[in-house]
Amino acid sequence: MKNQHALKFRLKKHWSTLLLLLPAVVLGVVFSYVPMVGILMAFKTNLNLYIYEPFTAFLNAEWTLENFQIIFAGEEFLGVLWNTLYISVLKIVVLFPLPIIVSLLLTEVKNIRASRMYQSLMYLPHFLSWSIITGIFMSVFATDGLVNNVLILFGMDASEAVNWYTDPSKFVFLVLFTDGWKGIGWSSIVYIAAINAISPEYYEASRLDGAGKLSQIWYITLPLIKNVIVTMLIMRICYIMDAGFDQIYTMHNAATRPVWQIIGTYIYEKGLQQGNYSFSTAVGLFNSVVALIMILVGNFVAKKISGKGVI
Amino acid sequence: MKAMKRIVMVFLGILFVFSLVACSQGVESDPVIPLDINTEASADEKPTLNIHLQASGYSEAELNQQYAAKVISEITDYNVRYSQLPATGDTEALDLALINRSQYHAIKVTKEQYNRLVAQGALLNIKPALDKFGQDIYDAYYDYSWSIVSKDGGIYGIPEGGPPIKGQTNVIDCIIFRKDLLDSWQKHVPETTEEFEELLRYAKTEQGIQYPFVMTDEKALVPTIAVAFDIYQEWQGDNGDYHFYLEDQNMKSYLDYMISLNNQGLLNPDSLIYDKADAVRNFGEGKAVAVAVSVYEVDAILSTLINSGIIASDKDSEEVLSVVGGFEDSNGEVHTYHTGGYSYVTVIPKYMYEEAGYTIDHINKKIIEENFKRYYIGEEGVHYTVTSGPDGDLIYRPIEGKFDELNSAAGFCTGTNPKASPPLWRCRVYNKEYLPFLMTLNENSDAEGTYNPMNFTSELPTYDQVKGVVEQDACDACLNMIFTQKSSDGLTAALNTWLNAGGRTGKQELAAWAKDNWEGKVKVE
Repeated sequence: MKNQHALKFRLKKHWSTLLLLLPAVVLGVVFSYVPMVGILMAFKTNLNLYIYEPFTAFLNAEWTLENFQIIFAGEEFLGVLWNTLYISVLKIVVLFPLPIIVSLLLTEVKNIRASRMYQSLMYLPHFLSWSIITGIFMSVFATDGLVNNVLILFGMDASEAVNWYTDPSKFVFLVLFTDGWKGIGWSSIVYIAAINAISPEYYEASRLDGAGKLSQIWYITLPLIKNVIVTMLIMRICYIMDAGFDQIYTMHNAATRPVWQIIGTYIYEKGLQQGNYSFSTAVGLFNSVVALIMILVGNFVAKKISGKGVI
Repeated sequence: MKAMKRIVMVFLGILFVFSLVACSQGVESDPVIPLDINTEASADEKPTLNIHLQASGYSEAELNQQYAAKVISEITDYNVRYSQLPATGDTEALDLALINRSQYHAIKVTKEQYNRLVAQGALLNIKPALDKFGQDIYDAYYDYSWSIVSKDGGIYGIPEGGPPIKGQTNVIDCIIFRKDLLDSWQKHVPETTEEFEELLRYAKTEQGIQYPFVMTDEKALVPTIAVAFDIYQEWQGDNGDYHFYLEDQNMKSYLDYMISLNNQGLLNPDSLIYDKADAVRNFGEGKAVAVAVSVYEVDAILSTLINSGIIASDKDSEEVLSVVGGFEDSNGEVHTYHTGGYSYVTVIPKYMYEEAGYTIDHINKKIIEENFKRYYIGEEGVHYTVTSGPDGDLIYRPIEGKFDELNSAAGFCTGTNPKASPPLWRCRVYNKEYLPFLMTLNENSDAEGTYNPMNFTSELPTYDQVKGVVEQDACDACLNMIFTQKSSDGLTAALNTWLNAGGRTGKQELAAWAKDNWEGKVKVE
């Protein structure tokens, strides 16, 4: 009874704030929570959505664990899982530190105009779609493209032109390179903001103590943006099961299939292209469970290292 | 706090129920098409028809402004709104449109898409509506064509294309050569694989062309070369014994030949990521001496060659290019791939049964010969002229400049008039640069050509569900052997993968279908 009064009181007191919150809550519920009912499809035989409306198709389909049996029994999925984790982990290890380095460099540029120009130029690729970027780099890395021509200028035999896009061993490098080219500038915004928020007094004091640039970065800048780095790292780990569907889908080709087939493209092939919605839902559910575990592990590790997590 | 949780739970519960109810409006599993409708009413009294076409290259607004769109409304007395599938990802978009019950009265789908959808039970049996409103459609088609779209006594679509017909041009796969270069090098257009390889080697070593031959990632079998290894189609056979090209005893030799071209640096390794446009651009920029694409790319090639400044715009195209449909096979004979068959099928989704009578009436009026001619090649004296040929047949010629507004007309076909269309089709392509090359390719096509029976099948219940994927995988496997593995050792593994992924069933289903519908049933008419 007391609780009900307290609730009423709070609702009355904050009604205008709650009203502002309502659209976001409704959107979140409708588009994030209600669709979760679709998870049940993972435990059904494939739904015939062409004949029946979704609910009827769902009721008509039989309960089964076959989709999960296929996932865990097949080597195909294990390969897909490995590719996803391999590309994602490489992206974290290689690309995650780069925006931090870029932001450290950019904040050291004292000429404001030049600094802004560099920043704008670095943000620009973020606004290009993957299909455009892939088109650009297909020309640049073609066997008769810019990169190979430069290599030939430096003495490489023309007959040994590197097949950047079609050689599986080079493909992962290309994935990392293009992802870095597109995303580093944009990702550095958060770190630039964090660095700019550090009080200049720290740097003045350190200068008086004789600290050089590297010492300032190591002992002042990095410790003071540590929380931002940890938060960004955990957020990145949250997406570890997303190795970059758009990017891979536009860059893939027959030759590199053994290395590019990731969970995102696998779900797309099985679900949308082959109409096997129940199986792709099962793969998606497995994907989400692994992602959740990775988030919890990432948060735990972050807490151990920095004393802070985000969950 | 508990009260708040209860509120949230009730709210979520209501939303779940609401969303489930919203998703549960039923569709009759065997709907009856209302036939008691007034098809003679004015356009405004009849439903506006939404027709979903294949990708046209135009925006939807432009599509609805095309000459053919306006004429079709006029001649059929129906208001029609056109939309289109995307150029890429069309099958996925089509599936989602059907699942979302998009209100399309008719959809033009590929034969492969048709086969999948009819097996899923997504399409309406239009036979009752055809019987009442579609007499002209029945009359226009060869009887054989209805077997393609029939199932259990019902008819599920209106096909485009036809059975093998003598004299119709249907060889389009070829290798296009830069004849001007060959002439300047005093080399002739190759007729055998040995001559082809020798020419490429000469172009590379003596003329400095880095990669003289370019192909696309769309086909691992280059028809012009494959026929030299007695592989005359992707699917071939007879008397109940049909095989896919991976099973062909000569496939290893074909792969080894292609690998050899690649290993010598004669074949552009980027072919593996080239689509048609990329290959045409590469060839049109003078980077290759031969390209494996369809003859329809001649116009694009010539434009690129002119834009690249390689040839003058007034140069005679036959002095610049030359086409070869097939190199000599092991018997010294030339064979070519025939691409004939059924390309598109116009279907009505099952849930659109209520207005299916109007849809069929509309399509029927489009197919009447005079109406068909009107939107397909325009008006006599305005868009084309007619003269009598030596055999008394009518020859239609487009009027230059005026015919341009009909360039998009073929895309508006929802079924064709196969008996009336051949001379009209020639009018449509009369001004195309590819026409003389197409004629060259088809000079002896009836004697030399081989058909792919798979292009003529009705639904193959199991294989059609996986055909697109497993045949793409087979193609990818072969491309990999040619370009990256550089060895044909993986052929057996690729074959087993294909067999186990549905190929074995596909062979049985094709043989069963062919026994009843192909062998001895269909002859070149």
